[in-house]
Amino acid sequence: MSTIIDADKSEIRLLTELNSRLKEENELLKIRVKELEEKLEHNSKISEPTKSDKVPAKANLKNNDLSLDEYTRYGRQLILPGFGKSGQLKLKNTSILIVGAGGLGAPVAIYLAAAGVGKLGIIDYDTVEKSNLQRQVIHNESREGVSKAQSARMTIEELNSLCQCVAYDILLDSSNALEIIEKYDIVIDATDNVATRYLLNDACVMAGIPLVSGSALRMDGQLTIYNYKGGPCYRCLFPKPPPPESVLNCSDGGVLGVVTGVIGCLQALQAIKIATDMNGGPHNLLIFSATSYPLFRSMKLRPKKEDCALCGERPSITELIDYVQFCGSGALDKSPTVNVLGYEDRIEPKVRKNLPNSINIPLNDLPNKIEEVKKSLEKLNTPGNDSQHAVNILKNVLKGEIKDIIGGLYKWSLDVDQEFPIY
Amino acid sequence: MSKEFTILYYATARDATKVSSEKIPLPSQSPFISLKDLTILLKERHKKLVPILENSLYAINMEYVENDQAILVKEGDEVAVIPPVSGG
Repeated sequence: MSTIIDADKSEIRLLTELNSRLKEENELLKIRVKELEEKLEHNSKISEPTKSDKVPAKANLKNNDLSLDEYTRYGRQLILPGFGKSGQLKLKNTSILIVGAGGLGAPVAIYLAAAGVGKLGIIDYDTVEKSNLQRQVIHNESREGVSKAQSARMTIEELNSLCQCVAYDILLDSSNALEIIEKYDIVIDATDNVATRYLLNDACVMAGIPLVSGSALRMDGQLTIYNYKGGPCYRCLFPKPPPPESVLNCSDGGVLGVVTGVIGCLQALQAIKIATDMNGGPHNLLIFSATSYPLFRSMKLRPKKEDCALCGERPSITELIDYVQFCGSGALDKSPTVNVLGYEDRIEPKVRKNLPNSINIPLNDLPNKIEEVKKSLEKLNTPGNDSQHAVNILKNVLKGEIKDIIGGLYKWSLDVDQEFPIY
Repeated sequence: MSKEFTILYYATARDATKVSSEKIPLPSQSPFISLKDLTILLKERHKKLVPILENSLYAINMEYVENDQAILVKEGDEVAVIPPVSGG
């Protein structure tokens, strides 16, 4: 008995030591992050997108030879038939803008920087959260809370100091998109929302720049190059945006990290092929489905549509519009808030502090599980809005008081039970 | 044995139908079905596909086709329903 108590004590001592050591490290890292952020902020102001920068950055890159260091670093590419020194020089003289430093943008930035692209711009308005790390492999634990654009830039600088990297911690919109995009040769759409996809498409068509578009959700992904060599633009294929409630984002729909990795790597590949003139073959839409056989299918696309409102012969869209209004949803990877229920059907988590005999049923299964629910009085669920729909389903079949808890399990965890897992 | 064609569902279309593909018989006595009639048929078959089909692409034998054309699907064709994926 006493041995067990002693063992417990020594474990507690170890944990206490570990805890204080990690706290110390954490403080040191915070200081280091602050220093780096200040340094980066100072540096990025030099190339601040809002300031007029008369000489396009892409023109600054012209460089017709490789250094000894570059020969060593890129040796495996230099000996590649069909790539060689001329390919490497083309990469060196190419500037690529990556919009989104998330699941797709992470591998794109890493591979393009490693391959020797001369200049990379990275746009992201968000900050690093722990739930990003499962797929956004350009960030790490010490970067939690840091701007994603800056965090990506830190990784790139450590990976390849020869690559000039510009971080933009901004929300890309109609007021700034063209000015930034025009400084680059190729744009990568690595965003997570419909509004920014249309914005990027329109801006790239107006600026005459190819757009390498990737998307990934759950187990599926898509890859297309838009506005390139007479091929279609995003609007040729999808003239109108999907209704906002039908669009899932990664925070609601989930995504397997490696699926964004697969698509992101292919985006990097396509960008390299465009930069080095290796891109041949018909225009196509590549479809990836992790659970299907075969994993990849390629759909042949038509040339651009003659009657496309943007890139067609008589375009009706000649300047950037309000994309949040056009799509009915914003540019952030967050669930739209719905108010299905009136206030009388909803309560704050603090009002109800225990979860007696709670059961967990997905909304889709609810209509078939009414009997099970009869034993329980309350429904809660994830940060989404399904709980309000659940209340409506239950009200139709059950008597008594049924309430939705405002903010769901997320708010429950914050206000009532900090031990409750959130994601 | 009726004449059939195959439908492949991707992304949200697969979520809505809960199958990745299915074989559908052509209307009796007809060697074809138009894309327009196919859309109506699919909407009747799967209620949850209704909003998704508004914004999806069709590909026949992995070649993109215009949704509004009177294109005909024939026996043995493989029609893919491809909704846009926007996450990342």
